[in-house]
Amino acid sequence: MQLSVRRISILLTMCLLAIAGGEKLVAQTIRVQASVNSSTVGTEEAVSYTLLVQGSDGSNIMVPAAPTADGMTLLQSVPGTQRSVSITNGQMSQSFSFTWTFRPTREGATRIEAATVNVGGTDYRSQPIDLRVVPQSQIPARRPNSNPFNRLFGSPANTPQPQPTELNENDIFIRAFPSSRTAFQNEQIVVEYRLYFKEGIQLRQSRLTDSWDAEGFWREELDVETRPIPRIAIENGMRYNMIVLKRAAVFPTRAGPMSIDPLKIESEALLPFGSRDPFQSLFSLRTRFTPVQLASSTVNVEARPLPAGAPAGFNGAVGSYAMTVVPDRTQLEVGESIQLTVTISGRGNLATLDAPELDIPAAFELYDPQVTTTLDRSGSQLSGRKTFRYVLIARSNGTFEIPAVDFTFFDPSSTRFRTTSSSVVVVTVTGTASTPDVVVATTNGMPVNDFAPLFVSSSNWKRVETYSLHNRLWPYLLVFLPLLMLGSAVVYQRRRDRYDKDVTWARGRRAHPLSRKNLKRAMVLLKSGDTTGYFEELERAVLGFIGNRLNVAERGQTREQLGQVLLDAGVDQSLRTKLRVFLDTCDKGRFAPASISGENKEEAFDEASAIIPDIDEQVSG
Amino acid sequence: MRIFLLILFLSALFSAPAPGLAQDSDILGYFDAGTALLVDGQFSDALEQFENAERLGWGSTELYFNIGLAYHRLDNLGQSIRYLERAKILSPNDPKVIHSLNLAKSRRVDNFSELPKPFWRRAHSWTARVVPIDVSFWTGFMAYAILIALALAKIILRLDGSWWRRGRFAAGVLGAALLIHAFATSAWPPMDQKAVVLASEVALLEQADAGSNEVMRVHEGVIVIMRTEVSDFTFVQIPNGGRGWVPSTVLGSI
Repeated sequence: MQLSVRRISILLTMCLLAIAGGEKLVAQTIRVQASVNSSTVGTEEAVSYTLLVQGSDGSNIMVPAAPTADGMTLLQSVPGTQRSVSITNGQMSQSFSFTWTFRPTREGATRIEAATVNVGGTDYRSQPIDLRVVPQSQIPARRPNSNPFNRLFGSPANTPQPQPTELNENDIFIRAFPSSRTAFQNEQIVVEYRLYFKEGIQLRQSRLTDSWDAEGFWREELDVETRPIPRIAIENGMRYNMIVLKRAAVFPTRAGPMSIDPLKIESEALLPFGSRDPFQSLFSLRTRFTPVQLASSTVNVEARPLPAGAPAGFNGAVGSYAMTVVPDRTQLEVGESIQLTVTISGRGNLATLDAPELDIPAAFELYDPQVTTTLDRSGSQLSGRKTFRYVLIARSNGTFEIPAVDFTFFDPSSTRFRTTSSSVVVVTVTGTASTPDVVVATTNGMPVNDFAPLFVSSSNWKRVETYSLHNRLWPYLLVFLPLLMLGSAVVYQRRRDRYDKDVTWARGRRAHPLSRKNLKRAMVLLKSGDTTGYFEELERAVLGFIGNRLNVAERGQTREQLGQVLLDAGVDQSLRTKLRVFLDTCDKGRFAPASISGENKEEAFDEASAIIPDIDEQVSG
Repeated sequence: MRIFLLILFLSALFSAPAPGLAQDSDILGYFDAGTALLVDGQFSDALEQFENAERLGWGSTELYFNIGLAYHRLDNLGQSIRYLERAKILSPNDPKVIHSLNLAKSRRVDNFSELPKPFWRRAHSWTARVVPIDVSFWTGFMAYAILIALALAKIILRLDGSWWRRGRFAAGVLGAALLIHAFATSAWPPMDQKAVVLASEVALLEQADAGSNEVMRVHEGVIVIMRTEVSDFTFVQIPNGGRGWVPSTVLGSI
């Protein structure tokens, strides 16, 4: 009956506690963990066994029955209860613990079996805990159990407890918890450093001994509570108070094995005396604080390179992002400005994020963006947003499309490159382009970051075709025809000079034309019936030819003189005889024309025509 | 009579029409219409008018600059650089052209260093720019004609003496130098045949085959030297000396 009353009172207490904690609780999964105050106990010591329930608001927890333990006696059947409330990053969580006290009945290994607790109609089991019971003489001095419930509900306060003398590594330590030990290059890893200390230990004047460093990582601090309230945590089956010392988001800047330095602190720890002597407590307060130096382990991280096949626009962003592109207006006048706000938000290293490439129509003058970064450090990961505000000044009128802006990032959760795109922004610019309101000009009068003004007139036109000379005919003709003309002039002038100076040559050149002329005239006379004139012309033709050809007098020479001249010129006897006969025929025709028949006249002509080339041939030969 | 013929010949020689001086009113009409549309922000329509003027076979610094400006407003970087380069060829020292071309080039993705030109190439370029082919040829031809006339005067009219000899020598040297320069510049232009990459990105290939290996990638606005052209591919050299084949369709000759 007494037990039932106690159980009911405990339940009521828990309900009141739950109601009192009327703040918004975070829906959590139920976790049940068992712990003892020490895994090695002396035969004269008591063991405090605690069953911790997390993730419940306490209203639906049924008080569990004590676990069974071989070789140990349960000193109390009704557990002591405790509620712990913690607020982390604005979110409240609470835990409930049930504590029983056992005393060993024999030496050696023993086990406290798993306990079962019903939460909301579901049974949850803890893990069994193995203990080692040793003779009391082998146990070092130990601080007393400070659990107030133990004292409240009849813990063995009368049991003589050894006094604590020094701390060991299981009493207080720092542990580092990285969110992952492998990550892609530039992927976010959150490292949390937790300080664990056993109940009753108090710390003061804690400070970092070395500047914590993580070489090869981009680092961003995350928020932790400045005045943390210790939470109950089970570590290696032991119950500890735990506070978070530091939380940092790190981003490996290169691939390969990397390490994060240990977090080191110096502090002073208060080891509580078991004695209740007020005088001892009062006068030895200073000495009870013991300096301690604590360090976490080094965190090793393997950074993997990003997979190949990144899209063209990828500039190294890794994480989870979303992008918006918002213009402040879409209707404006020439010379006015439009503000285009590109916002990238999400989780990742926003500080190093580059602006996405904009493909702005050339009708706009684009200025460098104003960049603002807002980081949210309160969550379990670094998140936030980065805003790029571009100012565009319209320089021409018309309707323009600002093409979709693409932002590509690598999503490590899906190990894929993702591209988020904005929609096309259509901007209408009105007004006159030629008279911009404001044109910032350089020292030479040219506008900054824009083309020079257009030309309104053009006067110096040129043929577009390439002026080519070497593969055309007319340039060569133009060059060589005057040369030909010059050459002809030279030849003509030289011939004329020779005519003037070389009589022999000149008469020789004239011999043939004159003889042909005389023969032609003789033929005319023959046809007209002038026999005398005919033979005169024939004789003139032959003798004229000989005179011109041999540069001798045409007339006044005897036949003998003529024969001698011809002989000197190399004319043979037969031709000379032939010439004499011809000349005789001519004389007969001139002086006795009646004796000449028509046939003889024609024969005389043929004779003259034959003698002239024969003489020329033999003279030349 | 001889003197008359000589005068006739010389007057025929010097009255030969100089090419490229005729103006076409249509061209000015197209230019003015395109400029008005450019002022109104109707860039595509302005380009149509400018291209009409260009199709008539004439060009000017102002026309090319305005075309480059229109393309710039239409965000066509490659064509903008192409026409500004043409404007620069006609007016190498025009501050508006230089400023705008520098601005356009600053917006390119690629920023190659340029190989230095040997001094003789620079000297040849300078002389070709100062004395263009047509000016060199016609001036040289006039000097040459004077030489011929003086020679004829010596031959036919017996005009000779120390001043006549000096005149013939000067005309001969000047004429020969200018004519040689004109023909040499025509046959071996000092300025390479250049083109602009009009595609946003193109790969330089090892061979004139779409399936061959890539040498490297270049982007819109890069000015290349065209070395050889076969069917659909052109062998080009980029400013830093790199070479490769690209499809001819991605190039716009300057």
